[in-house]
Amino acid sequence: MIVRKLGAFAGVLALLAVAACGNSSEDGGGDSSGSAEEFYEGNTVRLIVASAPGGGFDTYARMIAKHIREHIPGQPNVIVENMPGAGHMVAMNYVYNQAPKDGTVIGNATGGLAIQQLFGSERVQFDMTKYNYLGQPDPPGNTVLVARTDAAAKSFQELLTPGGPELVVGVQSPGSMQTDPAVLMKEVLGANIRIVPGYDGSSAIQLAIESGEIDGFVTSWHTELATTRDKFESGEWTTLVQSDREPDPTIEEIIPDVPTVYEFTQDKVQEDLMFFGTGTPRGLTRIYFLPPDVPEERVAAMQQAFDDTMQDPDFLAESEQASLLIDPLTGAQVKEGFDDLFSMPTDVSDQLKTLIGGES
Amino acid sequence: MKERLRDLVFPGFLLALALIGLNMSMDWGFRTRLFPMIATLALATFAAAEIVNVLVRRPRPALDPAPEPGPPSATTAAPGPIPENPTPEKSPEGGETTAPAPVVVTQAQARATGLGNEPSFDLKATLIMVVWLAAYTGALYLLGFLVAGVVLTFAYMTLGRREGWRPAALMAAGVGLVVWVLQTYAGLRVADGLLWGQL
Amino acid sequence: MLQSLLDGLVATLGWPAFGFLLVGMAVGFTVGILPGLGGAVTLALMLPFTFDMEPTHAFAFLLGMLSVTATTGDMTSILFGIPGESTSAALVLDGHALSKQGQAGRALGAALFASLLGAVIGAVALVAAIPVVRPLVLSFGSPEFFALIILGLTFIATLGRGKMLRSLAAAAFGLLLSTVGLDPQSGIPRFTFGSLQLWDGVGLVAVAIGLFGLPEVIDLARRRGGIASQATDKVSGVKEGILDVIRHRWLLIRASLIGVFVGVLPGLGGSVAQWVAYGHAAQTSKDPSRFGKGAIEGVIAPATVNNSKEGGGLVPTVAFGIPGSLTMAILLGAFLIQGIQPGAEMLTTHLDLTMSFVWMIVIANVIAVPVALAAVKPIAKITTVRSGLILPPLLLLIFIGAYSERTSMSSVFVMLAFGLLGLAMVKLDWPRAPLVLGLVLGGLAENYLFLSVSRYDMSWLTHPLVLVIIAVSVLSATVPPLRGLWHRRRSARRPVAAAVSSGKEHV
Repeated sequence: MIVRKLGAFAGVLALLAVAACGNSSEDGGGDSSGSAEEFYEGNTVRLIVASAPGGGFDTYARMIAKHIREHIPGQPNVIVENMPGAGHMVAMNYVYNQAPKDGTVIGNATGGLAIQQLFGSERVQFDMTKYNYLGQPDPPGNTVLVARTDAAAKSFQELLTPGGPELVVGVQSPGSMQTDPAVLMKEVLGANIRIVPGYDGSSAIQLAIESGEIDGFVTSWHTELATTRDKFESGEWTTLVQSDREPDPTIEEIIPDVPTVYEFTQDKVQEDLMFFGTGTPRGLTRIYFLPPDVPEERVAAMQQAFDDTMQDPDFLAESEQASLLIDPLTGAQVKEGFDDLFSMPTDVSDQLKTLIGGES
Repeated sequence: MKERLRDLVFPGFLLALALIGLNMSMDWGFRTRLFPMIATLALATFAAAEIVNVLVRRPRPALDPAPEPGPPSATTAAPGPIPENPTPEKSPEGGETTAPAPVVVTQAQARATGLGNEPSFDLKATLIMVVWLAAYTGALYLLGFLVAGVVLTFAYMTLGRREGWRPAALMAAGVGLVVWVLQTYAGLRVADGLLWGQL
Repeated sequence: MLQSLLDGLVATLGWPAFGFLLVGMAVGFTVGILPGLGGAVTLALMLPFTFDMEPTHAFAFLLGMLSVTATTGDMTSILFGIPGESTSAALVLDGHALSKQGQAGRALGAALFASLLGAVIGAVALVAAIPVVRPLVLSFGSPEFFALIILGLTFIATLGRGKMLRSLAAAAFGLLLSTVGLDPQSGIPRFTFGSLQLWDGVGLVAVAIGLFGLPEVIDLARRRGGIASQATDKVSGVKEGILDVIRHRWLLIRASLIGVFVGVLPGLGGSVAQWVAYGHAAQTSKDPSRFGKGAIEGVIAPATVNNSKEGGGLVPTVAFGIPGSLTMAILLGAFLIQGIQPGAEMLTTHLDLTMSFVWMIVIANVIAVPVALAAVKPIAKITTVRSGLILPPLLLLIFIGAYSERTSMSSVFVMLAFGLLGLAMVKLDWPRAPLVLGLVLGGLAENYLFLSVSRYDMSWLTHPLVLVIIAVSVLSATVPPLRGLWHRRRSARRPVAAAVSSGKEHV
């Protein structure tokens, strides 16, 4: 009896093994024969999002996944897969090391991790200069310091005046673009800022502003434009300083004469610190990429598909309805941004590391 | 004596854990260290107190033999009458008194019949199940949810439980179907299995 | 106000909004049964389908789904002892204990009925409180939240009556576990042992499934019979459960209010709310020793909270654009997609829209609960199915539940480790609830403590609201034990009376 059962069991096992093998060889390793169209037809592309379902990353990714399919030759299935963990590090490591290098995996994470690579964090198991970049759907954020209008300090200049008012700034965990610029404004420019770290996300920070616990926070301007534009228009909030080299016209429209951080830097080193710490190279916060070593033809096809999606009228209409700002960068532009970042002079990167290095 | 030893196992484990944790937290900065230190010190204190409590308590009275399956419920309480049912006074809020329930198993009954409210174990069965769980996990890791789910369901039902192969095959197919549907239509991503990546 | 209330109702009951509500409920029911796949994930997965819908239809769909997942999560907890999601872990303690005593029907009946009434009472309280919501929410800053969490921790004292030292040690262990991961203040990894997956801490779902679910599965494997170890004819007992809820009506109302309160305050979250309600039920009970062993109050309180908090959570989300939980954060995303700008107008000019949301939650419950109640009889029979047949699907549920919390095998390993710990704790008679409470509250306590100190140095200790909450904490920690002592003295003095009345209670 038992023998028969074992036999049946073994049979099922064998069948399954065969089925699974057949299945996995279909997926193919890195074989690059055939055109991209032949390869993608009937295949499934996984879009790996480095954060949990429901956030901004996820919303953008699902919107792109929905539309990019029609622009990839062969129209493969595109599914979104969330792989949150360790501030995007888990997904970034996964795509670089474990994901198949055949063009069936697209990664989506923050480019902010480049700074961790630059600082030589041992947890970084990737090289940001080697990914095949597809692009970024929204522009690099213009980092701004936002404050309540009824806070004691009315301008950034006042914060630099000795004996002047103090601005209480709420930030999230260290190492993020909502934190580091505030640290640099305090430590490099000498602004009279009291940093309150540890708020759990931007909504917690907004609540703290509403209740008067803090006066302001650091954010990216276009995020605020999409979500809290009315607060600026009604004059409830204002912007004290921005990180773009040229004043942003969309800020000018609502709040006139917001200075840039470069108006307050004393020398080249300070300027570099502010540029690399708060500026464009670190504004690559929503990048899409393929792992290294994907056959060139498929990379080109995917880059084209990404660019085409960004022009797709349906995609643009739905994104607008969902308040997702679309003003894309191409893969080449993203790559260039990282090349800029990695060309940072070592003395600047050493200083940055001591200021915002975070983990020891 | 044996029981006393048994009651020392867990607080001992916790005490060790607290000390290891305390040791690890020593190198961190003040803010990073403060809360883990409070937690480890509290844990060490309570675990140590429990150890002392076990060591100094008088042997339990013999009238409560506490049969093996079923947790002895009064091991730490001071010897003496267990305050199981304080007098339900007339409730100030009217409707709050515990109403007679249709089937209420008293603690004593539960203990005697082994129908504890907490799960109860015998060692051999527990170990066998732990091995199955380990096998399941290993299979998930290597083969992925779809294959491991089907294989382990069939294996467990036929080899572990002596169910017929027909219900086992049916159940295995059902399990496979559920995973497949979740994977395909509910957007649930489950592990692929390490092994397939190597082939 | 009354007008908006009516307008909201009309909008909800209009076709096809109502149809979308039903579809949403069906989806929520199917997905909600699976542990680990809670309301938040379901919402996120379904969000893209609502891009093209009208606002009312989209929200009928989403809120219908959300209301049902809260309830189905309770059902997995009660039937299998496997927490359906992190917000229904407290139901495992007494709900599953009842199932094992063959009273699954009673527990389910009570949980479902309490869910329904909780949702309704929660909505009513909410509508009544709309004028004071804004000042209430804004009066709670980091120091006040810290004080509230201290209040929550005092419940440990109650949960561990008779095993006080063990409870305290278990809670301290939970606190220690809550520090695993990146330190929110300086970003330094603590107790992560080189594992990236541990950077985000140990997952609550994995821990709860391990601690509570795994020992149940192993226990079940030992037996030939089903989950209900005691054969009774009263498998259904739905009526009894409903009557139980009516008997404990004051508890129900208090738990509903707790749910609304915790829901309204962004910054505590759903997994805290259920434990607060459970602790409150145990603390106000005449006989807390029954808790964890199948006290029906231990089912009613968390089930009530689970549904009353949704309405509460909706208000800060629409009124400030500030979500109090992950679910609400996703819902906020949906608002923005639909072009609804959250803000004070949602409580004034667009009040009818807000009201229609509240109605959707109420109506979804009003429909779902009777349907579920009618189905309790066959569902409760699951507890009598022999273990050889019920175990394989349960094992799958456990693994998928743990895995999908982080979409990672590491969660499965965490679940197994805590399963072994849970086994040891059961075997050696250590309470598990304080451990989970410590884990739930520890991270919040640390964060709010440091936020308070960073912002106010030590002066936050003198905030009036902080003083009030601390005073309440001290009272709630000391009064019940003293009261218990007093009762014990009295019953010792009058042994006959005590015997008589305790006999009456337990026959």
